[in-house]
Amino acid sequence: MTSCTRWLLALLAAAWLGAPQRADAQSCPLVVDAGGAGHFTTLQAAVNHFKGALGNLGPCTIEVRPGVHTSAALLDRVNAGASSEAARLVIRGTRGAGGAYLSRLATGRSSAVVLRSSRFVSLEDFEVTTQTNKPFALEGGSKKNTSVVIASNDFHDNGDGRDAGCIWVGDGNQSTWIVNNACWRNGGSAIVLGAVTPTNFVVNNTILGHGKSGIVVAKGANVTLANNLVLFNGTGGGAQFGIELQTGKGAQGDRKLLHNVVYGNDVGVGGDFSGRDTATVDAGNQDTASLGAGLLANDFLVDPADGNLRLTAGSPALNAGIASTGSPERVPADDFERGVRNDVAPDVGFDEITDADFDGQPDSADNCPPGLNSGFNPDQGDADGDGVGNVCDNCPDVANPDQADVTGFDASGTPTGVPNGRGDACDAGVGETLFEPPTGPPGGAVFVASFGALGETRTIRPTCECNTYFYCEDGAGNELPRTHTFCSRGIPDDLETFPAGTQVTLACPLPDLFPVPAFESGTFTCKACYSNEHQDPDLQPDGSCAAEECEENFLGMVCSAEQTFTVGDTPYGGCAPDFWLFTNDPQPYLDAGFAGTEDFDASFGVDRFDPNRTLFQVLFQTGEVVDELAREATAALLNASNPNVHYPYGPDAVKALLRQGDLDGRLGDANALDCPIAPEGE
Amino acid sequence: MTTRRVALAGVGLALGLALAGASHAACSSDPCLAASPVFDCDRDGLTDAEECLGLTTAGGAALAFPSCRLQPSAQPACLDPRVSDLFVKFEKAASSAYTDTAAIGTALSDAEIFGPITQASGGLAMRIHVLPATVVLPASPRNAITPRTAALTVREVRGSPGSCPVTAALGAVNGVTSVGGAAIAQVFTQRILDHVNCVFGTANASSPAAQAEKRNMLKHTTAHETTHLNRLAPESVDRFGGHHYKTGSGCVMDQSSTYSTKGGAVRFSIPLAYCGPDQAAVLAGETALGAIQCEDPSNVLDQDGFTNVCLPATP
Repeated sequence: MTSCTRWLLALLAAAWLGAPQRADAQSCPLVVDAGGAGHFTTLQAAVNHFKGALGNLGPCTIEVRPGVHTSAALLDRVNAGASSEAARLVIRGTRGAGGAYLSRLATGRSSAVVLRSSRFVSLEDFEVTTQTNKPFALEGGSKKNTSVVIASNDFHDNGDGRDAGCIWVGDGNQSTWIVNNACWRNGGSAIVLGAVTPTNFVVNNTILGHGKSGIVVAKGANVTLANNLVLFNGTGGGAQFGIELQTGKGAQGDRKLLHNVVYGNDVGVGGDFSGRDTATVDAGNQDTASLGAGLLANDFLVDPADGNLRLTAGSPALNAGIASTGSPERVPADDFERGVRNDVAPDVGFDEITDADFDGQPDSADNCPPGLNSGFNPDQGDADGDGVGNVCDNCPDVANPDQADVTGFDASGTPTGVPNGRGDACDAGVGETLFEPPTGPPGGAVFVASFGALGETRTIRPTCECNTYFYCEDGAGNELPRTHTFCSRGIPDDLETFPAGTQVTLACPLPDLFPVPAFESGTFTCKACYSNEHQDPDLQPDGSCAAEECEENFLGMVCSAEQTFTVGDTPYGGCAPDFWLFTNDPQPYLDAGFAGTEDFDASFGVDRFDPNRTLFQVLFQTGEVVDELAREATAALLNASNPNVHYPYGPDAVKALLRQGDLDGRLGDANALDCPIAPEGE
Repeated sequence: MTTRRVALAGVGLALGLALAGASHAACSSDPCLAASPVFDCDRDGLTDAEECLGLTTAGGAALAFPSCRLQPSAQPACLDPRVSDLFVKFEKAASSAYTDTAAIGTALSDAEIFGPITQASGGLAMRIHVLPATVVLPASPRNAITPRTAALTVREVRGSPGSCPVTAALGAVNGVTSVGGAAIAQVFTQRILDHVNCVFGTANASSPAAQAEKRNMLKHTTAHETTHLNRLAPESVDRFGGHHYKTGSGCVMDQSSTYSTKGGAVRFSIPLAYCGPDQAAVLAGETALGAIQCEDPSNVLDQDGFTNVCLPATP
């Protein structure tokens, strides 16, 4: 008796004798647990139950619990009456955290599972090891199978049997889908496919380090090989190949090669391909010749020596696959651990690296946290070498691995005690303040913000339209929609040097920044941010300069402390300078907390007049040279300080606008509003 | 762990190849086999039935859009259930900069203007149906093509020539994040011409190089603002001014474009390609903010009157 015959008898005995335990009436799903905690202790027993008690027709799932399963299974005429996917029998192992394989098939003999004349059966999620030949075997010829799926299994350290080290598909099997499997360090050729007319599919498998070839396709087979990663096979002597399309007389078959990465296979003796010129389609494939010699397995995979076959950063397999799901290529929608293949183009091999921001860098190696457009940085530049990419570094020119941002500074240099978006390690450039936001109707509101250069700063001047952003949330914490603007700025034309202490004050009408309906009644919290992203194009991602000199201007963003305010319906008011000059009623001054005899410069924190003038004197200017701005500012300060006026600007905003020169005349405009404290008729 | 940057070139190539002739991943089977009125394979607001059979808009002007299946010769005006359709009411100025050959050298056709969006390689592979400014679309729901789809309004604001430098915005979208409705994309074309003129200087403002940059900036800005209405660059990033990529990323949706005049040499950087998750979002038919083109009835700020929700891509 040959060893093969003995093995077959053993399988048949198991098939006849593998009676279910306490499972006579068990319905799907069926549970196999080698330790007795399931419905059956062997896969064979569960299959027999399916064939017998359950009528041998899916849908059904057989779940194989964690553990080592040492007996083989013969699936003979299983689900033979199935005619569609709806009736599929899924036999599934158990996976653990991080995709770990917990259900091991290890019989130490030839095949672990043999399929014969079966239909619509899936074998998924098993670790398969110690088998000596054809670990998974699909018998052919008169025993051919239909629509078998072998998915997400991990075949390794199986023997060097003559037929196959992972999966053997005999002649005539049709619509077989071999997908997302890892085959590594087995003795024989990994996947061997016999002749067949209806197409079989071998897609997104990782095949590494076999003694013989990676994928062998018989002459006359119709097979699509897509997105397979076939590396460094042929270690056992003789001429071996990564993908071997066997040739001979007669029709070679419709054998498509699509986007496989085939590298380093039996270099110098065999090669990456054999019979490649007989492929009916040869597109998107990469090999040693196209990638260049010298790459090692760990240039593709994380730790191949230890069986970690996940793709590593920079792997040529990243995003190199064909994306067509469904027919005709049957590229899977997920990878070996059910991770969604959500990239623009899928990765090659059984693993899909998540790349949430689509910048070509795996999330696990991306130096900007995976996001969407926030982390898109294909160049991975890190000028200060702190491990945080320039795109997301809150201090891109000073190493601050901790990205600490404890406090910002207001425009006068006082710590705000709240983060400002700019790292503390480099927070000496610009201070920022958003002054008290207006509390009247939003259509007439104006945001006033100051950005101060705490140290000498070379940057692009803040403007309302292009690089100053006001971000607001409503009372529920929802960010309000803003008006997006698009600008163009240049180096060095638009750079200015701001000496330490310089303040730039902006007065930006709310309707230019937001859709006014967004502010209809309620409480809002806003902040003002200055953002400059314009850097010298000669400045390289690594911080070097490609020209003789590069501008090192202020980059990034700083944000003010937040201000919370309530929008109301009370219309804005304002009283003209003449009102404050001629009023005989002391009450408006008392309500404002000012006396007309107070010094202008002291009130505004400036040094505008020499000799000094009182507020009243500024209002009472006559002659040819009248400081109209000071006059309007005086009225504005009194208006802003009087709680009965409901002035659109607060006192600090008025002072800031004066210091800026109020180029847009906003104080004068506000002073021309209706004066609610004027006696009727005035 | 070894990282090989040299591989990035190959990655970029693969991305480009993958997009050529792309159709929606959500459409795993031919949507015209069933031509369902309750599914929207490409998530553009038009049902599979409307795109497989063709549609004529109701109210206002009766606009006919045939099915590409029935009238393949009608490309690119026809509808394909596996290609996102975008309807744009393009309001050019009476004296449009897009066709001002004295300023830009060669007039830009509508197809060229929206080329960055429609192009298969480096673009979004969307199909744009440009409607003339004079077309009368329904007032409620505003600018409706169907009860779930609005035409975007892209408006050229030409204005008068100004002085140098140009520091104002070149494009803008009011802050309503719906697809169509009340949202309007504005392109300030005279500012664009002025800006390029300023950078090149009077002597070189009419040079072929300057005219080429003007054409690029017109195309870029139009694509950028139009795409805001499609909810792309789906993450709002404060430091990039909202739904943008960092300036210099080389994407249409970069925060801003740049130029350099260092050493007297003018160098503009005006991206005309899409990148990041944008292309993938179009392939998937939606972004994190919702379907690409379908109106958002939960957005009350847009005040556009749409009440119908988006349809699923498949059962």
